[in-house]
Amino acid sequence: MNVGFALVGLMVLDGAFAGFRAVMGRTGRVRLGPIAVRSALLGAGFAAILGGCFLQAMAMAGGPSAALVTIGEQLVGVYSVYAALIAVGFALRAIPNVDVRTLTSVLIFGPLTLLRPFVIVGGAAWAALAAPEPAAVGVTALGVICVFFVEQCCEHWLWRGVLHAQVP
Amino acid sequence: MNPWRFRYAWLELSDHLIHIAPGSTERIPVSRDAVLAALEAEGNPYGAAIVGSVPVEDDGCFVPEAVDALLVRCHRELQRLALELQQGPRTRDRLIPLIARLRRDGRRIRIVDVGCGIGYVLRWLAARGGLGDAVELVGCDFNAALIAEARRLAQAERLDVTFLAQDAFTLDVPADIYLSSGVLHHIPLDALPAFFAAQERAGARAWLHADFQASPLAAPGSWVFHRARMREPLAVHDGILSAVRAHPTDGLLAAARAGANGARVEQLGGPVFSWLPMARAMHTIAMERE
Repeated sequence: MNVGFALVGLMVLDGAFAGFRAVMGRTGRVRLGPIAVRSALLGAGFAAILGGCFLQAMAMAGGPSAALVTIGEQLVGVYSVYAALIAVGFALRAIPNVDVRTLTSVLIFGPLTLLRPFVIVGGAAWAALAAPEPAAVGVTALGVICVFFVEQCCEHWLWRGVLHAQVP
Repeated sequence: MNPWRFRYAWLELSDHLIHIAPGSTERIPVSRDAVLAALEAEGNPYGAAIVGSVPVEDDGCFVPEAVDALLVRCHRELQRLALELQQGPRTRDRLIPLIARLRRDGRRIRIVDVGCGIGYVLRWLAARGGLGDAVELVGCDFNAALIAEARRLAQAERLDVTFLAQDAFTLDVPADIYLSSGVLHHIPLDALPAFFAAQERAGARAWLHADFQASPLAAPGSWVFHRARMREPLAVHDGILSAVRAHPTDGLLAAARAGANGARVEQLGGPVFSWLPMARAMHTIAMERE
């Protein structure tokens, strides 16, 4: 179950970034702080609810199978590397130098945002190869769909349905 | 969109969609068929696909409100470019010493942003630039819809910036410093000396014009940036094309010197590191009158 919590933690982090991205380029404002934080929290909250449901369903089904745990461990390995690269980007961005900050956008955040869907799907496919049991692969695929669902909800529903009205 | 197929000679779609009558800020109706023909002549299939979906009136001309709404959405998205390339802090860092030199007489300095769009750089300077009462910030653009959005955004954040839908070089009160961000590549290289000379005639004491820096990495780099961040196809298209259309530095400096009437002209912001042959995404062509 620790693997499950780790994956849901990564999903919540991804949801927070999806929420943040949902307001970027839409408000036109200079001071993005409050609306961006609210959006990130809503994205994270939505991912947490979905991830929590996932874990609960797993527990009610008698816990994850050995194959699913194996796949989960592989997934944590792949996604943690991606998360670590993002963390490095943020650490570098804390350096108060305009060139370093620009380089984090150009070399880290931009390419990694573009690669994100491929990392999610490719990581899941690679992990599934470690224990190709149909039920475990099916659950993995469902988890991947949930991650993209959170992003799409943030991108389409969160902005238009919730936040748009809060930005005059 | 394949960034390698974009050409220096192509026009940005925003330039195709809006035509302004010379000497005024009045919009001229633009026929979609004429734009599609121009894009076909350029050999730009991406632009044609995007323009084909912009609504038209019964006479085949673009619906002005639809074009305005599209351009405002695109400018909000493209604002991320200025945000992530740190155009606000970079402009502030260049302005502070310049203002200190120009303000020896204690007079307030008037800074005018040419082709300001929705005025991100000026609004950033007003919100976070720390320039205080030493400066007056004025943004000018021919596009009234973008100016209206700039005003709305400034008002929403209570920022002390004036936005005017008019020619920046014919203001009643002349500018001390002219700025621009991402404007130079919209002007053909052979017309740039006249652009710089117009600022001289308008009485500028300095100018700072930031634009993309021509580089072999500009097209793929811009593609990555815009594909990852933009939603509007027009924003992706024009964003990539902006980098591809960047004028070579030598040409820019020659044009600036031709228009600067003997004043000192320099490029600010070359390679990131002296040991790394990678240019900054944007550089600034600067003039300061002694």
